[in-house]
Amino acid sequence: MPPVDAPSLQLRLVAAARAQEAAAWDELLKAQQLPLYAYVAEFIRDREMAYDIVQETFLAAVRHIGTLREDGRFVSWLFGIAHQKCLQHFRTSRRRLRHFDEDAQVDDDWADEGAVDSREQLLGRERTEEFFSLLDALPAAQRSTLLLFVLEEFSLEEIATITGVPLGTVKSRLHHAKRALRERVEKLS
Amino acid sequence: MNESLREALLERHSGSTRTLNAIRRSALPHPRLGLGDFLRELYLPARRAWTLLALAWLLIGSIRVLILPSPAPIEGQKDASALLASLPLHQFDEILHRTGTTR
Repeated sequence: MPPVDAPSLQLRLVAAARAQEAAAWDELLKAQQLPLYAYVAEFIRDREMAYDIVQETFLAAVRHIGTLREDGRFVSWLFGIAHQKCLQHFRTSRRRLRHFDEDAQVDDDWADEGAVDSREQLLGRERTEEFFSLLDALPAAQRSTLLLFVLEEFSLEEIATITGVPLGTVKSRLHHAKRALRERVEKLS
Repeated sequence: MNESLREALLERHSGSTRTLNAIRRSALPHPRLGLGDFLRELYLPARRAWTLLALAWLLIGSIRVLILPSPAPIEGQKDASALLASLPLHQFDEILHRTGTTR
């Protein structure tokens, strides 16, 4: 019997989840619960509220699986739901998203997508504590983009879909986040 | 730094696993229940309580049957139809006439 690769297993699970099979949902959600929670908790910076948002996300996913267009995009679809819940949280709690309009200040030095540093390069240069410290200091929009990039290795297009913003905006947010990270490290050294 | 940022992020929140497990289970879809399933779900979790309750009712019913006498006709009181039947015919017709009924 040939080994089952992860993507095809996920496709099978998503197909079963569409039929509301509890075991399939359990597998799918179990694989994503920690990254999703980490994303939400770091994005909204409220660990207790993050539990509520993860629960709402799971319930919404189970209820609205019919809206998932491509089974292969289940994970980004799930993160998209969580992202929208986070934005709702910001709106209802009237917390201000710092510098959410920063995208107007896009640098001209942003090169094409190929110029995005690889995750490995980032990892080689930064330390965990500095990363967390920077993460806390970043504006919410940049923080969200960087988290999605780091946590699930989403492509820029996927991040654009999840966050509901144009691709260019995602590029600029990621660029700013990484530049801030670089500057911080240079300052420290 | 050997640890990747992803691992560091996940490690930072690894203490939340137990709560997340509970949240996940609570969000899973429930299978639709038929009447049989519904009754089983109702009975099985507390079958001892249901059994005891049923036994108690049986006991109460048995005691009631054993202890309470069945209602006996009061002595001297006759059945109404027998009483009517024993009346002379003219009195019987008179009663029927008064009550507005016919034979």
